[in-house]
Amino acid sequence: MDEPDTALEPIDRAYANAEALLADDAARAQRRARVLGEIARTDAARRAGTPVRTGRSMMPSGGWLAAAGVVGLSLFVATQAPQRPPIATPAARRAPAAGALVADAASAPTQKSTDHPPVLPKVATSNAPRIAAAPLLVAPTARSGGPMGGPARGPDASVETDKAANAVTDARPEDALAAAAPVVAPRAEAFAASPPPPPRSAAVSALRAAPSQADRLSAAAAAGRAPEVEDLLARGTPVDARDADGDTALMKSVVAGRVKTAALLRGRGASLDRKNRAGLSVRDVAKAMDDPDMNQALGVKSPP
Amino acid sequence: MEPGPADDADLLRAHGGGDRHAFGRLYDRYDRQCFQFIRRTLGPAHAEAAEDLHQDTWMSVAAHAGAYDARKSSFATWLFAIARNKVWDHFRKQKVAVLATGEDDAAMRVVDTGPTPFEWVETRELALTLVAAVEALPLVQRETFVMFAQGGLSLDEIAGVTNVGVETTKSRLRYARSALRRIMPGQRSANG
Repeated sequence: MDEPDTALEPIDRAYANAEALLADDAARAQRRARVLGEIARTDAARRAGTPVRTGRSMMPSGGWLAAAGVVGLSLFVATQAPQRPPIATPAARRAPAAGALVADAASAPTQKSTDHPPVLPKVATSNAPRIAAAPLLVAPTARSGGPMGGPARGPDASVETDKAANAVTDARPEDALAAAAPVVAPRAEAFAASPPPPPRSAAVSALRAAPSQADRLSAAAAAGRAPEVEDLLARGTPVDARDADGDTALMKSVVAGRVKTAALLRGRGASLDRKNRAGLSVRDVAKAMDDPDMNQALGVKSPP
Repeated sequence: MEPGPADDADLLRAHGGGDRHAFGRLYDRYDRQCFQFIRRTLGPAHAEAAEDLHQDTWMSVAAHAGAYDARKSSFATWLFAIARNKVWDHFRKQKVAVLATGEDDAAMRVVDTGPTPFEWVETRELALTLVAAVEALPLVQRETFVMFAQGGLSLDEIAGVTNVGVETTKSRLRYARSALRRIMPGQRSANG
């Protein structure tokens, strides 16, 4: 006799149908470009012998805040230093302050995973499944193993990313400083004598002026929507604008394998040499992917 | 999951050997199921982490391709195990506690064998209702149900991924099905 659980039941198929109905192909294409692009960049960096930084599809807001907080604290310490009794040379007072904090943040112990999931003790068992109840609760102190058993510690169990450390290293200093401004506002007079920051170049300002357009351009390029790419370019989106991931539209089209879109962007003057946050250019990624059609579209030579 | 012309393990080996396109082919086979598993397991409260965890999962697959042993498990099992670890690690880091569920003996006896019109979800509204019901399931039932119904894993494979016995896996699947049948509008009683 067949086990009733081993075959798909109508409710199973209904769920699969529901997921298919709700599928977002554009988002999937964008996701594909991001994931495979990151893997290609990591691979290219590894081959090039440069340090591999794990990119993120988005910068966690907490990471920026942490970076801003570190810089803010560093500035606060630095500005407080002259008011304290002199115990060392000014250089010796200031230099370690910022560096030490960043180092501390980067080397701070991360929360180690345990072999058991955080599970609250079994509560309020009833005869009716509690579907209406939210299954996840925030429990700041819950860390113990529970009766439901832990997740399988698969082959990736030892791979942990120190997001806080990454956030510190990935943060752009100027953004972190800007975000930290309110923190050091009471000490604003300490900065009065400081020279004003150099103005951003017009090109940089232009590239950062329309992040949403840049994101749309990248998404369209990743999905191979050439008409939308042309429309966005016609409306003034810079062809080499960087999206939220730090990539150009050409980079996204290359990693997504969109040959026609890549050719279109190249025809509009998209750069092969503009580097992303990982320090890689379209040329680097194309070399790593080694797709003859793409190389032809980009006008680069295939590696021997 | 229908296997493609090339075996999953072959594609993974080809990726390790420097084939630029092999990983993309492997990704295309499983990305939808993997992402939906992560997204549904996270639930609506943590939906914003799904993209990152999905990327982390595939980065780990690429980085540890050499560690995969096809004699021990299918690629899908290995992939879902990695994805599940990512999700649970996320919950740990976010200090999220999973509410244990009461297991309902009555639900164990519910078996739905007949087709119903509900099998064909045709409206977006109904699809959203069903997906929301899945996301409202207790975590262990939710992940089991999604791996079975959408991920295509067998009960044995799910038991391996979740590190519990097959009977426990069966129970979780039954509870999930029973709960979904109860909560969906117009669904007939399967044991009536």
